[in-house]
This record gives sequence, C-alpha cells and structure tokens, in this order.
Amino acid sequence: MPPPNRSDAGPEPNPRAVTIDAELAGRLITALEMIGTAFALDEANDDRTLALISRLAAQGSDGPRSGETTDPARARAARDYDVLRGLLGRAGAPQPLRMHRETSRGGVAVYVVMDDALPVSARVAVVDSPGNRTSGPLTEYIEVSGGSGPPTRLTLREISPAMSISRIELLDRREALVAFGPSLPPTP
Amino acid sequence: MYRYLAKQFPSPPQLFLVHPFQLSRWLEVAWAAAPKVPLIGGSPANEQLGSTTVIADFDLPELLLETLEPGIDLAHPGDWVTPGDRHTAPLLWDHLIYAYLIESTGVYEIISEIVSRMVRGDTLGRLSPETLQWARAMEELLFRDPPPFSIGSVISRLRSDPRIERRRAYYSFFGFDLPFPLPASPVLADGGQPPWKLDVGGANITFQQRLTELFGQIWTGYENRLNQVGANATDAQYVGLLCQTIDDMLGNRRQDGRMAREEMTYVAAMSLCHLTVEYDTPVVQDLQATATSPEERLYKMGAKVGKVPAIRSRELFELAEPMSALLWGIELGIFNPGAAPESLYLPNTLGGPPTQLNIEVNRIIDLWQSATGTRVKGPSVSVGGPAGTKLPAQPLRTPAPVPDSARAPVAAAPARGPMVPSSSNGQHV
Repeated sequence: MPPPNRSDAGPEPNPRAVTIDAELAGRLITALEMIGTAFALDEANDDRTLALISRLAAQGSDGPRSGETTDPARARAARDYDVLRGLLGRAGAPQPLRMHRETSRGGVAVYVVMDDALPVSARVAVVDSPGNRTSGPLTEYIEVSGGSGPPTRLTLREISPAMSISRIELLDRREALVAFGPSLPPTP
Repeated sequence: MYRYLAKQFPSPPQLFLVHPFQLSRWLEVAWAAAPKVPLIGGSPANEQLGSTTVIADFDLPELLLETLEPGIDLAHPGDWVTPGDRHTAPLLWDHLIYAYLIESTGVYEIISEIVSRMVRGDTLGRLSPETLQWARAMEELLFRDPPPFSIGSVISRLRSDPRIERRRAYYSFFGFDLPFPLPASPVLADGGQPPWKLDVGGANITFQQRLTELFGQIWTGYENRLNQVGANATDAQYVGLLCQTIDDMLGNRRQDGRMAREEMTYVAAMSLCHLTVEYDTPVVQDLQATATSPEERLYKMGAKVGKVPAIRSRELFELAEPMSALLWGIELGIFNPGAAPESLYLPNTLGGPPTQLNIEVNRIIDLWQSATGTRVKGPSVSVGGPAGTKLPAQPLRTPAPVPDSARAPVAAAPARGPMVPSSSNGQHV
C-alpha cells in the first residue's frame, strides 16, 4: 500500500548533513573570542568610564574645564594633527579659512581680515606671532561671533604690522579647534 | 589635491566638468599657497619639504601667475569667473605615501585601460556627455605631457615614462615597489635591475621595518595606557626615536627641496583616480559599477576591461588619507623625542576621551597589519580556552563585505593581460 500523503516537512534531517560555511564559522569564533576579551577588559573599562563620568561632572554643561589636568604638549600635538587634517581637506577636520592682513591709514590699527564666513560654533580667535627681539612670542585672544562675515575684522593690539603671524586658530566654547587660518607675513 | 578642490563644489564629481586647462592652472595656485601653511610642530615653514624656500624657488612670479588665473566657478563648473583678491586658504598636498597607496590598488592602470578604450572606440557602449568630459580631463591631465613650464611639468625626454618615475619615487622614499609589474613593457634594464632602481642613489629600504616597529611600540603604549600598577613596557622616548628615524629617512630623500614638485604632481594625479571611484561619478554609472565603496566600484570597473584590482584595495583606499597625515606629522617633528610622542596613543587628559589622533593611529595600525599581513597587535589571553592559551585579540585581516575567496579573476572583455597576477617584483602593501 502506498504511504499516505504527508503535509509535514518531510523526513528528519540527518544531523551529520547539516554544515556551516567554514568562513562564517571562523568569523563566529573570532566574534566570540572578542566578546570574551571584552568581558575580560570590562573591569578596566568600568574604571575608565568612571573616570570619564567624574571628568564630565567636574566640567559641567558649559564653561571652562575643571577638575582635570590637560597635558599641554600632547594637546598641542593633537591640535597640530587636526590642523594637518584640515590642510589636507579631510572630512570632519577643522576648516582652513582665507584671511589676510590690513593696516589702517597711518598704521594706527592692525587687522586680520577673514575672507570666509566663520563657523557658527567659533567663539574665540587665537593669533600667534613670534614677535620680535624685544617682545618675544605674542599671543592675542579675540572674541568672535560665530557665523559672522565675510569679511570679519580682528583688531590686533600687540602684534604690529612688522611682526609675522605664525598661526590663527578659531576655537569653540569648549576650546576645541574648529577652523584655522594661514600664516601671514609682515605687512610693508 | 584635486579631491580638496572637488569638495568645494556642491557635488564633488562636478570637478570633472571644469575645463582641464583650468584644473592644470589650479595646481600653480595650490603650489603658491603652500607657504601659507600655519606653523606646525615648531618647524620653520615648509621645512618638511626639505627646504624653506622651495616654493618660492619654483613658483611663477606673482604677476605672471595673475595673468592666467584658473577662475574656477564653483557654482557653474563650465564657466570662468574673474578672481578677486587671491587670498587662498592654506593648503598642503598629500604625502607621497598617498600616491603610493592609491596607485597600489591598481586604479591608475584600470582607468588608463578605460580611457584608452573610450578614446579609441565604442567597446564600452554608449557614454553620457559627462563621462566624455571625464575621459577628456583624464586624458589631458594624466596621459599626456603636462604644459611646459608649469609646476607639474615633471616629464621630459630625460624621464619620459611617468609610471617609471613614480615607481622611482616610491622606491626611493619607502623602498616599496608597486605590487604589480609594469604593463606591457620590458621591465628589466642593465644588470637585471628594473629601470626605476637605476641611478636612484639612496633608497629607504628599511622604511617598512621601521614603520612596523613604530606601530608595534604605539600599540604597546595604547595597551598600557590605563596601567596604574605593575609593569608597563611603554617607552615614549623610543617611540619618539623611531619617529625621528623615519623623519630623517624621508628627509634624506628631500634634501634642499628635491622631489617637492614631483610629489605634488604624483599626488594630484592619483587624487583624480581616487575621486573617480570615490563617488558614483557619471563614468561609474555608465559602466554600471555603482557601489557603496571605492574598492567595489573599482572592482566592477576593472571587470569591464578585464583587469582585477589589488586584493587589499579596501585597506589601501582607507589607509591613504590617514597615512598621509601621519607621515606629514612625523616629518614635521610633532612626535620627535622631547615633543609629544606619547600623543600618538594617550589622550590629552588622564583617563579622558581619545583624541582624533589616537583614534586615527589605532585605525592605521588595523589597516596596516591587514594590508601587509604583518601582525602588529599582539595576542591576548583567552578567557574561554584552556588555561594559558593565547588567542589573537582580533583577526589579522579587517572584515570586508566581499570575502577574498569571492574575488575570482574576471573573464570579461579581452585584456592585455592580468594586471595584478602577483607581487613578484616588490613587497606587498
């Protein structure tokens, strides 16, 4: 007698015939290993998270940072690297801006003129100059309004037309670099 | 270079709609803008180029430069605008390593075959007007002699093959050869040496060894960054010494500004190739090679002309930009001893969030070990295996959407020969 019609899934699969792609298996094992490693490092991560939370708590929602010690050499190197990324046109890097120098009639006032609109988040411009023999290196901090211009004029108080400008950086309220300008030679 | 300009347009592929003569002139402006680079790392301006005067030594006098401004109109790429005061933003071209890594993918050879077919016949089918403009720009800027007396004029009767000249530069700077032979040409010259190794003088044969050692030391520092007690094998000053060694090696090849023009020209050429596959440009669309990543587009475009890109193209494309910034940083002395070598692996504040530099260096190490097959990140202790068993902290190769085994040689339109059969003439990267 022929077997009755069946509407189920058919015969039971042979367990030995069930295979898994070798590469997929390798990736799964690797992923499991990494999860295991992550658990092993969890204690260290907790410490790091606590340190981060305490730093943020000390910092508050705005205003200057407190309760932390920034290594100035490392911070300078990291910022230089950000400038490099901007110079190379990398996505997400600080933006290079067009700027030039101007002097008022009679040389009474000295300006840096920004020919591009400032980033909206910019709050302060930092202008560095090697100065001269008597002055030594000079740095001026000038408050700016983000999103203003172009053009935007920054009035320099100490850096004279005869001094070159080595660096102009625009920082946001958390002192992160958001844009920078060129080095500018002395004006005649 | 050109990718920097392309990002100024509303849509970067619009760069190929600009007249190639304007693009060529833009290189002159870009060269002249190099002295505006702000002071980085305390080095005098442009010292990383081997000479602080190299830009002024080779640029056009200002009045001559103004007689033929590029006048690129970002709103209407086919037009010309009268330039106002030329206050260009500071700009630096990518490091030569960028050109090496991009060319190692095989993109230049694949594009040369595509352009060749487009200008000789219609075997690639019907092409859009934008694609024809792309082909014209590429032929003018990559496959013909540059305009005489221009900054990019580094081809002459004395050095007539740009492929060989680029290989010479790569060999001299990094001790690397491209991972595929020169297509359809006698490779060996006198003495059985490839032509790019003749008369080269010094070559940084140990560059890869030093760089891998540096990455290993950085990784040691990164692993131990949270150590409060116990042994810490990190030696920041040794990291600085390695950076200084690499700085000196590369500086020896650049003495007095040698190779600055060549570097900018080679980088600019490769940036055009990179830009072509970075987006779904008109030529990518016409060749039905749209994808989500440059290496996928390149693979599909290569398939149209019977060429296969380098198997590690994904890593090479992703490495090119960050490696360029890192090597410039090293050549600017940012990480030398006494500066801040530990900034490569430590955040600015103790226990603080990683800096962009930390993140990027870690990424470079991942990609470098995947591309070269040289393990940098050491083993870690397994928690699930038998006691004492060491297992890799992460796989050697970075994950890819398409497994290597699926990269079978392409049987498409007849080709002159496989482009990337092996790496018999150099070291893999």
